[in-house]
Amino acid sequence: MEPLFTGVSNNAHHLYTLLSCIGFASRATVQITPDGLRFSAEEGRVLQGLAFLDKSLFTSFTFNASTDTNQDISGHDKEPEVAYPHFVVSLAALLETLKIFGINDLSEPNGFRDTNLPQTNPVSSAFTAPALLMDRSCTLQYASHGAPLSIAITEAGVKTTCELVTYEPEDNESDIPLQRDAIIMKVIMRSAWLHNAIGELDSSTPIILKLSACAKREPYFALSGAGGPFSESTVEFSVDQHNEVGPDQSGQSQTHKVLADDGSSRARATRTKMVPTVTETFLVAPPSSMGDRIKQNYRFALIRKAARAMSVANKVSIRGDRQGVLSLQFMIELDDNVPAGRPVGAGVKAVGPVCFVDFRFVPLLDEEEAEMDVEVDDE
Amino acid sequence: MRFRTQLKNTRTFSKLTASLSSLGKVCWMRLEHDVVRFTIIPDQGTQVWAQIPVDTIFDEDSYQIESNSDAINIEINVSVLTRALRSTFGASSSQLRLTKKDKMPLLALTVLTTEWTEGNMALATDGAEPGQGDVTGDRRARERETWITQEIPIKILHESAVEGLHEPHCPDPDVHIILPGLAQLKSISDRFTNLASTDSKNRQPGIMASDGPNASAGAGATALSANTAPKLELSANMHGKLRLVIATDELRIASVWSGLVNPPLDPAHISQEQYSQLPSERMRGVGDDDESGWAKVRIDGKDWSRVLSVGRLSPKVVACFINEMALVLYVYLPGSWNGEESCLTYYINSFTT
Repeated sequence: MEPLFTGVSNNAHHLYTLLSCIGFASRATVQITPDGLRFSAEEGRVLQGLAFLDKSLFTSFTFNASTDTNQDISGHDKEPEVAYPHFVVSLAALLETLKIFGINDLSEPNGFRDTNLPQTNPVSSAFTAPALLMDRSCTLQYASHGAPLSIAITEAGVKTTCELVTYEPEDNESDIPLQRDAIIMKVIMRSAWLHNAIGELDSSTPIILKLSACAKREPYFALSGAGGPFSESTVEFSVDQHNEVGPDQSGQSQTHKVLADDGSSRARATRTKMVPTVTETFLVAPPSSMGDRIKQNYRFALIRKAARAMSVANKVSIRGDRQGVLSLQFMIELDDNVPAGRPVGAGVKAVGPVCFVDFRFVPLLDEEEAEMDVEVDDE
Repeated sequence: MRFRTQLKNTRTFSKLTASLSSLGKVCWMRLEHDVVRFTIIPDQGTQVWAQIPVDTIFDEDSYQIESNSDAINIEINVSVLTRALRSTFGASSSQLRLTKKDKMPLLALTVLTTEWTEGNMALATDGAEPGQGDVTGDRRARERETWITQEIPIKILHESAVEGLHEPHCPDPDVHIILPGLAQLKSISDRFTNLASTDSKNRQPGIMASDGPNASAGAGATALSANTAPKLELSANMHGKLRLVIATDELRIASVWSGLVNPPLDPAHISQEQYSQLPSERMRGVGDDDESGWAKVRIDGKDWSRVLSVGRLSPKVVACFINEMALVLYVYLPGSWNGEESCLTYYINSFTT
């Protein structure tokens, strides 16, 4: 029987990079769709990480969709109403398997390995002969409903096969809903800025992350850590008055704005009320019931779990909806070092593919709840 | 009782002792006229019997040994020896001798290092006008000699204390095969072991949660699984294939090497008739894809990883599989002219399923 799904990738490192972003959970729910594989990891229904392995990441992607019908499709707002294979696997094991890829590079300079020199990433090393990478491939296969997800990795002389037991997803498992029609905040900036800010706050081991955004007054955009053993600390993304705003940055008028207008064509007349310097897009439009400032609290420990994604991503889009659900969407430009040495088919650009990893967080309703949560955590 | 020698190949010596020290601290070192033997028999895990020709690590001309029994048996902490040997790197000469201090036996390692001090040190240039040609003679580099002596406490073992120790006797192997590069094998093995142990770690909270009312049973299961370290299944056949497998509840992962060499046994030792009756020849007759042609052992992942640390000597390793019973590794050091003489033998017991 033909397997339900087969995907061949020549760059397991890309898969690893994306999946490691959501590696905070030991298990992930996988859904196979005609466009790619959707990996979702969650924690306590208040944090969800989504990584989508687009089929463009695979050199061959075969999915025979129609054979599988008895699937639970509840809770997928944007997926088409077709029963796609849906199962849970051990994410930790999957990541570890993908890491076996490239292990040969480490062992090649035999005899010199005793020196305690730090090993650079073998895949991107300048001394890696691209020809050596040619006979590698990584095959993901899901034979039929209930079969294990198998990952086969072949490198010169060694063939590694990992079969991950697949589990039925829980019935009530659903995505954290982000109300796309009720987005009241959207901030786009380089992910490194967010990563630095979170890293800075992390050093005081806070329990709560307070997010504060306002289009009119300072601080325009600030993140604070509170509730830790030390005092509260705040990172404020300030407005640099002296720097010219680049043409690609959108000004934001002082007046109340609707989100549909991103303001990019606005005259620079309103420059005195500029947006934080590091942001590319800064739209804050709280409903009138909230006043003009958006304030939400999140569990810091949960935000921290997105740190890996923050560090590998280029850009992040920070969105909040009316209910306070926070979405961090990371744009990851995968470097294409490895296949660049390979002959690439005509028309295929050597630029690495761009992928997205999504995190969603449920807000803390008030501080009492935060403290309650912490007690539960500490037991 | 006398023992004194100059050392040579101190890097090899120190790599050797470092590999040995990963298996156990207490080492029985036996100095004989032609060979030096190192034996480590830990309470549990792999034992290693090494036999090194004197001239591999010692300078033969300066090698002096005097003993009533023609051998000196020493009990030494091999990790202390390893640390001491580190000071010999770059030394111009190093000497090892048996000595005594307050009636305590010692191995004294004396190292002579010669350093070139830069001529333009403050002391040397004192009073000299910079840039003047006639003072350059005073600024030439000087040689400085440093003697370092390290004393390693040891125990002298009487011949009667060691005569009961014998190398394990094993039946003829079912499969013998040359292992692939140990560094690669080790990194994959380590990854497998980690995979299995993180897997069981992650699973434990799940057990506890699902067994909510049955908490005592859950705790028992957790304690049990913590004690049993993951077991790797290592198997090989006589068609150049080696397989490494680990299986848990959540996954089964396997790596297969192919195109390895099954070395022929030395025909000088056995007759043609015996040869054809060897279990390995029977295994060779079994087809490549037939599972019965594989000899299998189950070994502790952590212990295996320690054994593989001998890879730093970049040796050639022949693995002998005795199905479901034991794995014997013959580790031949590179550059030894006669493999028979310089060999480390590791005896690894197979765990039962």
